Amino acid sequence: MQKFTKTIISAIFLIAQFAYASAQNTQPGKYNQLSKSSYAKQKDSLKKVLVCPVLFKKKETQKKYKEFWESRTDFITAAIDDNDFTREPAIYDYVSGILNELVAANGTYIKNYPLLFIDRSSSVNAYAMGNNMVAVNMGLLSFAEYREEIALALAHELAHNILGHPENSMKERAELLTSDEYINDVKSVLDSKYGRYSKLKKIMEGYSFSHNRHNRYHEEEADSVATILLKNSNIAFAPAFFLRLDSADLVYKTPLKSSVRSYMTDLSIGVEDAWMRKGSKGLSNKNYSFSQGEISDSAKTHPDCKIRYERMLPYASGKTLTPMKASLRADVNKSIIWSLFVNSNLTAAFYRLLLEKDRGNFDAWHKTMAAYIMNGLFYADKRLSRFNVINIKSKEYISASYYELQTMFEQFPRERLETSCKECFNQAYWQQASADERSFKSLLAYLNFTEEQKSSEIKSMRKEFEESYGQSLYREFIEQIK
Amino acid sequence: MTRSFFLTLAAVCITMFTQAQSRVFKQVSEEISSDMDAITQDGAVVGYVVLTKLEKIQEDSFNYKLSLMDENLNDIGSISMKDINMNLMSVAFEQDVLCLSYYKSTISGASFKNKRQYKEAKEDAVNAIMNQFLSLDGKIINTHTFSIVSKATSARGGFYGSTGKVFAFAGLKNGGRVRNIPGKGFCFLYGDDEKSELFSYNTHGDLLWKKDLPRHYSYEMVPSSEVIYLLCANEAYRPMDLNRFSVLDGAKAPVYVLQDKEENKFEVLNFEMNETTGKPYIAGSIVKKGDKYSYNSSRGVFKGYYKGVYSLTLDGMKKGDIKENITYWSGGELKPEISTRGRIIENDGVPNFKTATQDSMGNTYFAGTLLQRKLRTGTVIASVVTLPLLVVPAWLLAGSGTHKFRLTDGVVVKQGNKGSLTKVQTLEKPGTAYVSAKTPMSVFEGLNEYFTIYDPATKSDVIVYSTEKNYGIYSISKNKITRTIPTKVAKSTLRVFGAKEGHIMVVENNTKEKYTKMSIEAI
Repeated sequence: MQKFTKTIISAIFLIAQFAYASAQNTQPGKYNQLSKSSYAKQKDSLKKVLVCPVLFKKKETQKKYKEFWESRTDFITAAIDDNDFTREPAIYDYVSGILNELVAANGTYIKNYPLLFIDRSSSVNAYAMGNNMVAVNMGLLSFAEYREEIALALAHELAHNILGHPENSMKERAELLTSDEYINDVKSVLDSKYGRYSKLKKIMEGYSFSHNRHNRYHEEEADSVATILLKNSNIAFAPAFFLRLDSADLVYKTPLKSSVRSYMTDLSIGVEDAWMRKGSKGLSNKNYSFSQGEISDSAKTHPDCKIRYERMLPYASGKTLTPMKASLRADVNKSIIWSLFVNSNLTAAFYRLLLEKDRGNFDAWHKTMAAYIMNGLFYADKRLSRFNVINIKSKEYISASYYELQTMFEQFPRERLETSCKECFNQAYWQQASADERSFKSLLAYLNFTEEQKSSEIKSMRKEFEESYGQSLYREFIEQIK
Repeated sequence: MTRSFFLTLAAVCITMFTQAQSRVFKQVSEEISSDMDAITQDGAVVGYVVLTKLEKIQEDSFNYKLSLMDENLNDIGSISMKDINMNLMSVAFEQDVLCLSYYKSTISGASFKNKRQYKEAKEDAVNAIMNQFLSLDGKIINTHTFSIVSKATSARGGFYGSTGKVFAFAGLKNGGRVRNIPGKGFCFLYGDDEKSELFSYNTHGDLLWKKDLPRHYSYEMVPSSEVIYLLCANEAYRPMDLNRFSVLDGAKAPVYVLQDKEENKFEVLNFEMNETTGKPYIAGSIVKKGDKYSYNSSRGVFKGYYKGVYSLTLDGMKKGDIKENITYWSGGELKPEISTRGRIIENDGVPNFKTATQDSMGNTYFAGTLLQRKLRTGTVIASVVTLPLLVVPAWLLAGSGTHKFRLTDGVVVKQGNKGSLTKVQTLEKPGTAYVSAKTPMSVFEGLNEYFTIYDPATKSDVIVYSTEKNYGIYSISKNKITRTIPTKVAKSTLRVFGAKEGHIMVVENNTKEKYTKMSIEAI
């Protein structure tokens, strides 16, 4: 009998675990996969390993070089502490798999396995930090259509490290800023009676121009080395990716397939069309044209895309490209949506939800997320931060749908928002939600709808959540509640 | 993170560079100054403009950058200009054109090595106004510049002029202000040492007409599409004059003096366009005739300094186009809860109104704080006890009076479009400390802040009022307090200002962590 009971309990436990695990699978990662936990060891060793080399005889130059060097270390360690990176297995393993191929085939260039970071930023980018460290943004993983595109970005960043560009950049800057010529140039500004600002600006621009020109030259070099790394690894090289990168900043210009109102109706959030039309006077909806309505090339995240494409076209290899797994991209997008939510960028988070719906990637998690975002908006409104979390963008950088959404968020009447938030939390889909999702919902409901809140109550709810669901990603939001 | 990473590196560069060359940066930045102003249309904020004086490029010439932002503080664009020393005075917007008004002076704000140099500069001084018309593609479509008369004054630097340096000042008697004329163009007025003038422009910046104005202490201007209404203030105890000019040709209508038939003065609490009717209105309190006190004391207010409230709806040039709605406490149109001396019976206090607003039906709402009085029992008993001494009770009573006064709750009173008067809401506020009878009401100014904001969602105004612990937002259409905002959150102090329609600007200042945050929030 006792054995039977034990078996039953074990079975229930296993079923519960399985149920929890399957629910968890729909969430974008876990708390302990965020960098503060998952890169804790690397963070400790970074400070020991990253020792500034003595390169300059001139004391001032060495001092400045050391300051640059240390600020880089501080920046990386702070980013780790701020959970700017993640180590979600599915995503990390996918990227590190590509990195493995590149490293294994290029032993002559890459002696040690690089330290890889998956940056949670939605910006379509990757970057090299020197000292064999590279990072790939979630935004790039969401943007890429083929495995080979990520390989190209990684190879390009590895090439920067191989060529020593990050380190050289710090060296050059230290030398420049301590050079007699530069100091005298700046000091000479004081000798002139008129036009001091223009003269100083010119000197600074001269420096920036030389720096930018240098950077562009570095990009060319890195592109060339990247093709070698890819060839050695037998990975196809598709220069068309450079052309696609030209539109990397346009994600919020992507129009929705249906009206914003229809998406809201599907989510059982009652809205009125009038809220999506600007009710107040203002220059924002006037036809101004100081800029031409397009992002200038120099302001883009990736300038010179067309030139780079044309230059690299002869090196294209005609192998078949491997499409990214749809499930992986959906995970990446979930992660971006969560990250935007937790960083109080609610319009962008909600818009990406709707874009996911257009792509057919809309599961129970997305519905719960829509409810969290709406409640986040109400929470911000109560804390006098609705404007900040909407993060209003100028109309030239967004689609008409995005404009409608941000206008609606801005004009959603407070009482109606409260009612909608409550209704969101009473929807049937919460029955399928995992325990941690329901618990997070309860905490948000307490913050939003309890008239007289006690800090002790919030503390105890926080503690209870952390004890019960220590690995839940929602802890990240809960930790921010003061 | 990439951008921020490189930005951080750049910031480090600049910081270090700044440290190394701090003197250069300090001196260059000291030459840079900025004027910021809200861009308005029909009284609503539609954007912001910043004029930055970057540097001196010749003896009398500077480089400027004019930056425009929309109502959400997002950048729209900027233009560069070269000109003599100038300040931005006022900006308005109409039909995709901005009209910016500048005061230009070669002498105002300048410093001179000695008096001789100052005298020379004074003789050659240029003082002018420039009205600039800017399209939304950043092109200056027209400019109207004209000389003004402004006598420079000076002050000598150091202790009793020990440095020998001379600082010059010049300016306008009435600062220039520009307003849009709905659907037509712009009007502009100013007053220099010799005259005051009113100009009318179309949206191309062409001057349509110009009028000399009678000299007054100050002016307020609200244009409708047909008439420019100009409220001219005299000395504090004299009633204001309302001048009206036809938008078409500047023809002037007879002056309307803001007083009733018994010459009781109309004190102005609000003069603005009614957004829903498109007609301007003036509303305020009626002050007892002959009261020449420059301030209204607590006792004065309680004893009938104010005789009632009024509103004037402005609808044209003819005499009958000013529709008066006057309600006296003693007029008999009052609900029983307001006494014939203006005391709100339920709250036991006399209102000291600070703002007023009109709805689409022509009803006017007045908001202010109630003044309460209390018998000084101790003083009265002491006076009675010391009565045989004659001098002592007289001294006691003359010193502090028989009553003491304080401000308590706020109140909203509705004046119906036919003159009825009803108290519609009490705005809970903590009572102040008691003050003596002669204390001027101005001592309560900081605790008695009220202003209105138009809410396009309800097509009516809300009244924002402050207490020691929070700001309250009262909705006229809903007749309830829709929001309260604490003035202190943790270590931060919050202040609330008007912003774009339907919004307030919340400025959070944290002195401990040394930051100031700004947010534009829905009302």
